[in-house]
Amino acid sequence: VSDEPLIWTAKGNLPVASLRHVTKREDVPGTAVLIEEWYLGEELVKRNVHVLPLVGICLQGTQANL
Amino acid sequence: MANTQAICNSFKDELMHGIHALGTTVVRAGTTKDTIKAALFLASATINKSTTAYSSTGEVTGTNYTAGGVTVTNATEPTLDSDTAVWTPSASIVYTTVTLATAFDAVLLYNSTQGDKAIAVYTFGSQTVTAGTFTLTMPANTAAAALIRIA
Repeated sequence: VSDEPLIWTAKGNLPVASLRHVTKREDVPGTAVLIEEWYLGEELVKRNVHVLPLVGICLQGTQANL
Repeated sequence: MANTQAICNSFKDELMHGIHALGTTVVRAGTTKDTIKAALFLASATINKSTTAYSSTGEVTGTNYTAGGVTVTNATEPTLDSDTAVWTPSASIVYTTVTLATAFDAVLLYNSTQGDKAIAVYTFGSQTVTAGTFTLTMPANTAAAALIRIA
């Protein structure tokens, strides 16, 4: 049994050391999206996406004059 | 003292608690809160303010994603923050170990207890996920940021 750390991917469990790890940040109005990607060669085998945070919506109540 | 015209803050909060029925309402089974769910939609879909209920049309499909999405953790009651009624799920919305290969950019919150009626649509930029986790972190439950606010 190997003690080599593994990571679950679309190709099954692979040694972490065999993968290229890339992090990205995308700016979306009001928030940011953090992306982690793992590549086996040029093939993307895992991609996590994290929205930080989801942007809320405000409903404005307006009363009429009598 | 002087009187001031306003929509009462308590009313804003009580709307989210289902206290008032200014029109015909539904017979509720009890006093428990409804189950809220979150479904993901393709960037090519058309969900917006006119959406009235959840439908699988335009919803993402993929490994480990179940049609209808996931149940939202709702442990925090709607409340007032200053003059604004606020509600935010009490935990992140997480889709675990999914592969969603076709670009998606929106999540629909809907009420699965009340006939899947739509609540709100949120967008976050076009994404895909590969054998990974998609996480929607919730904003602070405040008048400035909460996921649903009535001001």
